[in-house]
Amino acid sequence: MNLREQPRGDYARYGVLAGVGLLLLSLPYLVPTYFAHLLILAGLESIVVMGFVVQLRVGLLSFAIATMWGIGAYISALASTTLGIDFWLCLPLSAMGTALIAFIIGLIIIRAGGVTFLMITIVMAEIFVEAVGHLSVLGGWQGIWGIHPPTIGSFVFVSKVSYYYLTLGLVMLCALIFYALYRSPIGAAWTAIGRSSDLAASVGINLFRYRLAAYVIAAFTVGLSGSVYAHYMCFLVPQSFDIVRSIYLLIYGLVGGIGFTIAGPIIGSVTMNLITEVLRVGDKYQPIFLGGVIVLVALLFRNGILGALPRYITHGLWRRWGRSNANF
Amino acid sequence: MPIFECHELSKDFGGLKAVSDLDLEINPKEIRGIIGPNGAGKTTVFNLISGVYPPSRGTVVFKEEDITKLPVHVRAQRGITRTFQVTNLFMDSTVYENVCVGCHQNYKSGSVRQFLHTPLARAEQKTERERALEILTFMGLGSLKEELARSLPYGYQRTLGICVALAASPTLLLLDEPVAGMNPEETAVTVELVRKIRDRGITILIVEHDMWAIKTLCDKVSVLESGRKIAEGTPDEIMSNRRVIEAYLGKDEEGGDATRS
Amino acid sequence: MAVVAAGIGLGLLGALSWKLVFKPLYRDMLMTIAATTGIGLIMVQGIIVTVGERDIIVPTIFPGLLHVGGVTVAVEKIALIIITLLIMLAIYLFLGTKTGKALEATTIDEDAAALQGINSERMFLLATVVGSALAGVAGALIVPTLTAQAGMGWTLTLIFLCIVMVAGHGSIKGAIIVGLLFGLVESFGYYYVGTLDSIILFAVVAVIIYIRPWGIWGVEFKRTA
Repeated sequence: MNLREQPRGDYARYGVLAGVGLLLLSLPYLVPTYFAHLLILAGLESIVVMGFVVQLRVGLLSFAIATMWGIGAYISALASTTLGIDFWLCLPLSAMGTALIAFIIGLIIIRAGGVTFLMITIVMAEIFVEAVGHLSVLGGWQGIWGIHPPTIGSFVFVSKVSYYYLTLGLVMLCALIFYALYRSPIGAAWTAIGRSSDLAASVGINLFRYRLAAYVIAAFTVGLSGSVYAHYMCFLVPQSFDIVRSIYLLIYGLVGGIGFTIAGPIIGSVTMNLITEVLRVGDKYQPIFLGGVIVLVALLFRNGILGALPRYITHGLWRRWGRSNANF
Repeated sequence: MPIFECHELSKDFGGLKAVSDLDLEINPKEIRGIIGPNGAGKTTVFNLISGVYPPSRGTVVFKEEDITKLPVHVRAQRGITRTFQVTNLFMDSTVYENVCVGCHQNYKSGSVRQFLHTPLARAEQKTERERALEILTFMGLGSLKEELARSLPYGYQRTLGICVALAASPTLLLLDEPVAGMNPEETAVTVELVRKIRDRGITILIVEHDMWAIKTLCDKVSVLESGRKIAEGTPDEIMSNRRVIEAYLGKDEEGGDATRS
Repeated sequence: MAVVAAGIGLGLLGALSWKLVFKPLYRDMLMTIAATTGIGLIMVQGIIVTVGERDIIVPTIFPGLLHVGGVTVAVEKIALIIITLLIMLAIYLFLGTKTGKALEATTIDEDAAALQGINSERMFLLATVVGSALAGVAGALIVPTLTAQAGMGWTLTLIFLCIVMVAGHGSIKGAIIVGLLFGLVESFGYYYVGTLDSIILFAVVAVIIYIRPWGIWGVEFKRTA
């Protein structure tokens, strides 16, 4: 679905992209350490939101996206602490483990239809938190502590700067994966399924297969993020991955723009993390403002930040992926 | 050698017998019409043939293969596509994008190749895009390809629906009231297009109320009433068939002009 | 008294949120979820800001103990049961009235109800107000038993959601029965199965929803593709 835009627009966009790229690479040296922490968190969360959005795209609204993240994080943490596996092996292990679990669960629950799927994810989210909390072998309510940071040879990831680049790399990797998927017939099938599943099926698209694929691919990338998260935070508690976390991530996606599959999650996560921090000066009033922001976004900015920008900036993004809420 | 057959095809919804013991035989490159008063079960028949409803009884055979148990998308892959009675399109996508989705099942490269954008996959994408454009031009929508489906006037939306179904390279195309709500000019244009589609080698099954369209297009017509086939023959034959006239106009009236819809 | 005030107060809050937030949004599920989360945040923090974060202990309205057979029971618990039954009776009777039936009709099919002359917006407003008011009353009633904590809402919401999912979202009778069951399981579960009780409970909920997504007493709906 390629649209040849005017050359002038092209140069402008490449210029902006290059500028942004440069900024991103130098960012950790320009901002205070605490902001670096926020950016790292936002980056890792944005990957999870990307996973959420791709599922939503095919009609699977899920409140268990933080649960998936938690599964990835815990696999990595346990592999590292109890089995002593090196981080760089834990990373793919988490991703594939989460994807495998998602595959098995998906086989069962995706067939049941969108509403049932949603309800089951709600329950699954609770089961995860309870199960991890009550089983001391998984760390219990205290969680897992003392997870080793990654190392390359003798270099240990300690500074925020190092984690920033790690996260940036991961975000770019996942963005690339999703970009390749969305531009291929696979992505077109996904969008079609979301917009009108009857029509998609009537032209030969296997709804179940594509939905399962979206689910498992989301799990894979979310698992990657979870692994880095575990080794960055160096401790994990099950409550971090409860249903409220999932809903917050959902809101991050909304703020960025729910129809934008890659930029939306990134912008949304970064914005919300920054806003939460900025509002912290109001201390007691912070959650009130946060709640207010959320309600305002839902009421006035349905298409999120990206949706509210003038068309010519988001032209390519908008047209290609549009503002679709997956049909239920 | 019929390309499509169904035997004793039936569908019950609870106590309601929507379709009962339907037997059809359609030959390759035939245009078959299905008519009947409202509630006769015509769209249900379409849903049975395309696989949206599993039948309560009976079999469906396509190209000598029993497809009765196959789901919708597999039947589409075998060569049966359809349009919908209520306009069903990807409203937030452009005309061009809509048809491109229709092309989806023509890809032979697997998902992995598509993801990696190998030269093979890219070449196929290019071919399919050209095909989509060709279909649009063929059906007269070429100049509208960048318009959002949502913004099209009704008549063009219906035509777009046919384009999408065509894009999937069907052997049997089911058209559900293609000219519904169209004025005589639009109807004539659409009828001509349907003929051109048949000339490309596609068998067509068409449900319609517009008798002029039926008379002009169809080689043979099957008439349904209350879920049962009550007559079958050429358009002229069934339009002078007393049983058919009664079904449409009720038994108390005499004769009646059956060319009215 | 406090209970009545809580009921009215929350009812008004419900009406306010409906007018401002839900009315434009209710058809869009995602947005509604986001908006209700936002409102929840505001409300919870509003409490913390105005009253302070400390847990509040409230004396009971019904002091005293009863000795029945060999068992000692607090008067309060009996009073609560009676009040709850009365409220349920009131709801049941309400549903039999014309307005109540209109409400049910709107839940089943909004458009068909509208064609009968039922103002669906008013129905949704009514449902929101009544629901909020009931929640307020329930909260006020339970406060002497559990201490009032600002954050109690989040955990309980999930359980309420599960109850409704299992019972079927249109069914009052179902909500009562399943609610009771949940309460029983939570009280006795620990005794029989130990710490795994909540996990097993949720697993059972998941299975029930999978097999019967519309709940035990719910109205069957078509599984979306």
